[in-house]
Amino acid sequence: MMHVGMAIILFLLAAILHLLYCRQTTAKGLQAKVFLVIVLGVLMFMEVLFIFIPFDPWGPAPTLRSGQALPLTATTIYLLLIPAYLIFYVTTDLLSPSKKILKILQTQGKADYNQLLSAIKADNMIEGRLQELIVSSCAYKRGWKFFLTPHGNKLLMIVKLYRWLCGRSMAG
Amino acid sequence: MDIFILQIGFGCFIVFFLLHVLLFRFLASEWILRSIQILFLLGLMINFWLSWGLEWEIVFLSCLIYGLSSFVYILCVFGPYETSVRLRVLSLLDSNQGKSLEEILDQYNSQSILEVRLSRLLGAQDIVYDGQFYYCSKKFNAFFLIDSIARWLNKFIQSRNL
Repeated sequence: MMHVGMAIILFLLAAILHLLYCRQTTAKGLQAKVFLVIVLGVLMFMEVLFIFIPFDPWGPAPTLRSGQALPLTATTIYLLLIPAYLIFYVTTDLLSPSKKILKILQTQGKADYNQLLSAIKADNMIEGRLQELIVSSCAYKRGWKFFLTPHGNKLLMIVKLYRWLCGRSMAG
Repeated sequence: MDIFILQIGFGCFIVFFLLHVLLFRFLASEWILRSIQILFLLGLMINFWLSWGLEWEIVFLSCLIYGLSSFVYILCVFGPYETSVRLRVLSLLDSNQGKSLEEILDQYNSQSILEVRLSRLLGAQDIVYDGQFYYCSKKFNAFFLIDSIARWLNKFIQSRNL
């Protein structure tokens, strides 16, 4: 369990370092790349520490002695915490339509279809998302038409693969 | 022991994923959120069953690995595919001739965005409809939990420039 405790503490340390960096920086954006650099640096430091704690991944099972080394479990938890943190972090910058609907209903108490529709329309979601696709080099505009870039086509291939796997079209 | 914990955690996640992929194609929008909750609980029960009688650390750690991997899958893969407006717009641009804004809006617009979300939220019983108005049925749900954590993070980093 000591390894797991160390992994969680070191991950929290990496997250705090990232948040402190975000407070200080004047650079624009979510600074996700900075987080990845910090978190991978801390991961390397953690793995070096683990070398000094002996372990046997195959035994003994099925009982756990108090204090037994679990470096693989600890590393896995650390790696899974990285996208989990990024999800929460990216959410600070996003307002999804579902969250918007729930916020309106929570603050106003109730709303009819037309009120919700005008709130969604006011956000100009499609136009906004098209603009974001252009900024992130997934699409470009020629004349009044929008086209996919090679990067956008690669992303679309992944989407198509998942669609084939699930046998279901996107709801959006 | 290390491998044993990972086997249980990821084994349950694989069961969750396979059942999800099998069922996903047959479900209507209103059943999506509910089915994810049920499948997640089923995976958790299998996790408890496999680690039944073992020490609490094994149960806890395997559940943690299962929970985190399911969380990451739902919010990073399944969530964007099913709900992302950006990915839906991207898929609509899949044409050599390109698409104008009007052509995109003919296929996907504010009305379709709202209708699919209302159907999902009604199915998950996060909201209720009395024939005229929609209401929040719960004071707290997964959306509000994630939003609270995000707001807390935002407060902490409020000096950044987005």
